[in-house]
Amino acid sequence: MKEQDFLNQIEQSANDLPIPDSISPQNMKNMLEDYKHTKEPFNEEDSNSSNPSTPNTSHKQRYMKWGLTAACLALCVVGGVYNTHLSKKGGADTTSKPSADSTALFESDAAAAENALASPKSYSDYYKTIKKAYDAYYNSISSVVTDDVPMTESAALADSASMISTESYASDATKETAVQDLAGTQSTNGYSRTNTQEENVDEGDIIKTDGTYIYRMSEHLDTTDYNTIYKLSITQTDNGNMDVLYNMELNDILSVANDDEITFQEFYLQNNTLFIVYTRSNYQKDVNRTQTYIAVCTLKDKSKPKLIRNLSQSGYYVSSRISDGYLYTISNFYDTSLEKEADYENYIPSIDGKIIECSDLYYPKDVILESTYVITSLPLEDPTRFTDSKAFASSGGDTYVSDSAIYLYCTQYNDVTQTKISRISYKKGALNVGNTATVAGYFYDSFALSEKDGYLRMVATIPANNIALLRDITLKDTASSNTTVTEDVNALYILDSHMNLVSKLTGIAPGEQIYSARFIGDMGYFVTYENTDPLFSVDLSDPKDPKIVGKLKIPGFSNYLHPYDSTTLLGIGEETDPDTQEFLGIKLSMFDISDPEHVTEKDKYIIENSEYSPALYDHKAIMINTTDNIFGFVYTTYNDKNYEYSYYFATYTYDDRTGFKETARYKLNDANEYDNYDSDSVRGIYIGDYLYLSTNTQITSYTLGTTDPVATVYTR
Amino acid sequence: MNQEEIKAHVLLAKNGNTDSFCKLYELYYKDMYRFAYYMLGNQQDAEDVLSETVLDAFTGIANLKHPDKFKAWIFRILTTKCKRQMAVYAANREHLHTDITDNDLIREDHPYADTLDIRNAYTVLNDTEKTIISLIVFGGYNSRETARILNSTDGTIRSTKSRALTKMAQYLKEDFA
Repeated sequence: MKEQDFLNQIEQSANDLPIPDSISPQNMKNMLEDYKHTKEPFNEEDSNSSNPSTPNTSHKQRYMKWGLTAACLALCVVGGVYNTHLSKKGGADTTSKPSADSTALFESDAAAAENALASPKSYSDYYKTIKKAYDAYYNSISSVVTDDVPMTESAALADSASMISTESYASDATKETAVQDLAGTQSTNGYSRTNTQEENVDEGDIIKTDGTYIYRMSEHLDTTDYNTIYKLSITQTDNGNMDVLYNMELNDILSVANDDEITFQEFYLQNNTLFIVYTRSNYQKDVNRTQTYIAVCTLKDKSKPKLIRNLSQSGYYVSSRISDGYLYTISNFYDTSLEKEADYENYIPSIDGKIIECSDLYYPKDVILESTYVITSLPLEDPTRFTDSKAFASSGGDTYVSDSAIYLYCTQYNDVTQTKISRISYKKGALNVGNTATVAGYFYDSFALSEKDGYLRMVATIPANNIALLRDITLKDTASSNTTVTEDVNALYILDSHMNLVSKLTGIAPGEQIYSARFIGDMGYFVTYENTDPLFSVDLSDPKDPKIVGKLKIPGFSNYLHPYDSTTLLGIGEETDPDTQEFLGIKLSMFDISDPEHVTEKDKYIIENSEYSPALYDHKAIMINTTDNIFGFVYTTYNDKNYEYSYYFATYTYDDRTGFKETARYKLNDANEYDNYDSDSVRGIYIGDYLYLSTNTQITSYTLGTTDPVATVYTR
Repeated sequence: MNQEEIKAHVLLAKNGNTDSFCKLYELYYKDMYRFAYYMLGNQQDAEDVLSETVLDAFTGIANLKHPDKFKAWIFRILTTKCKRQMAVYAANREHLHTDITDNDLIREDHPYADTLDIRNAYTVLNDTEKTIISLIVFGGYNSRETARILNSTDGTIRSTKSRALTKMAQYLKEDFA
């Protein structure tokens, strides 16, 4: 059974839910009529003035930042059908059991040419190929889909040229030292950086620091129109003291009109320059044209960041990384129309306003124009234009980026869950579209993948006939008596740089799922869970012959693994009762991995009354610097003795002899106050000996290890 | 009602026409109620947030720039209201005493045993998971659109969705083991 079927079950479960009369349209109409009459005389010309929650001062009228078009919905429906269609066609090999049967787990053991992407000879060639696939596809499903997918007129793309400043990008490195080095002169500590998966590959976030200034993007809900306002603040720090030099709406710095619908994604700080990644949608005739933008802002004057370049690429934002002196940005272009061959921009993605070169377009043999990935590289030293760009047709998915290649993986939940992985290698900005492989199962997150010396190592969970059959909700009313509830199983795959299978281990930990993974050099560690947490260690030194060398069983599980020093591995996860699986709190574990065959848990620390932490799901929410032996994150607690609900940021250190130690704990809310409920947006960073806790509305500084605030500034 | 009619009614509603507003509301209110009920697990609170949403939407519709996005807009207001109510629960722990978990029905005797199981399974989800599954199921949004409503990313939504469904399946399995 597919995930979609389970969702349908949930939907059906609501069908017998009685709809109370109180909320009927008629009763709501009465309520609104009453409301109109009890308020000041309702002025039909200006409904704003009668609304107490819409003060006259607020005339910010924005476009909605969410929503969907009919086209989106139609595509969504079609997507589901498409899966069914595929699974029927490929029934022969997709229904095989995910057991030790080796060939079914990996689809491209064949020669490399089989899984290579083709590149069209001309735009016309491209059009004909995808049009043929498109028509064949729609003809095949026409009996199922009743609504035609709207074929829209050409919707002109936003003219990005108008937003580009003509000022050239001059090197400013030499003038830029006067205000540096204010902080941490006495300190032996450095400052914290975004916690990234790969050491040399930077990831964007909502906060960055260069050791003196804190750059933070905050989000505010405009309660008059339910739109999100993004604000960028720049705060100068000096041993815990702070001065907000800049705090303005993102629209201002980008000099886009308030009516434009922009959504901030994440940003980078490199070479005294901000690279702000955001998306912008414009609606024309029900077609949602989303473009991903990279705004380059110089910080010569910290109180006045200056936009010098605004680059664009088609599609919604997928991910980005900085590596090797380049910013690599991945977007997904999906609103395509093949109505007219001449309307290139309707089906070929654009890079900075121009449709991509024909030689940079790729498509797989079995092309279905579901969406097109767009990948660009932008040099940090001279970010005036993209160095390279590629586009290829594929379904949307997630990304893992090693220090030499971008991997795009997308999971298809058909009768059997499979993940398709495409490799795009990069070097000094040059992109090279490589091969694509398909493996059984899904990846828990990008930490399930790791590349070393050209070998891609991956751990995947292969669901048992997919999740809902675990309890077999539909068995009663279908004649599928031959369907047995089989178990989940896990697998390790190693591929070479041509995406050919080198080796695999299957049948790992039946009945359990992978909860976290981390690859450290030639070793891989991953956690599966059912009643206890087996931490597996795998020796990957011979890619042709990986070996599971160790298995440590302890209660609970780790959601996140981080190499702490050369012999230890930190786990952040949940403690559970081994008998009842009852959740007992957030747990820190320190594993001794000096002997991979006999991994031990040296110490564990359970956070009292803890309930939830974004650290369990988002590695960027974790502040960590193993050199300075400090880490911390935000979590929520509930005390069932005094019924108090709180959230905290706590910092920890680890000592070989004495184990974990909480060095400080900061309460972020007043008693049972829940207005700042959004714990996901809390970030802690440190500069020298000072900790800076940042929420959407303020930054408060403390001396590390103490809880008395040094200063607070507001970024509302 | 087609897209053009929806737009026309939005324009009228912007001018304070309650009839038009309620015609629009009629299109979505059942799904809105189911959404609120599954989020909050409580009929009274679901009714209350729906009333609040209607009032806010009616008074704020003048700010709605894209008439064709009425549904997404009103669902966003509803989502915000539900999340606030869930925060109140988190603070007061009222959600331990919801209609859903309080039902004393004997499963075998109840004609809707399966659907009640699923509603019970909903209680194992955390607030974020509930919000995402509810938007997908009752809002009819895909993961990308859900990501937009919640200011999150597509990948995060998809992995949270999978995790949530796995948790529910696990609950259902254990319950019947």
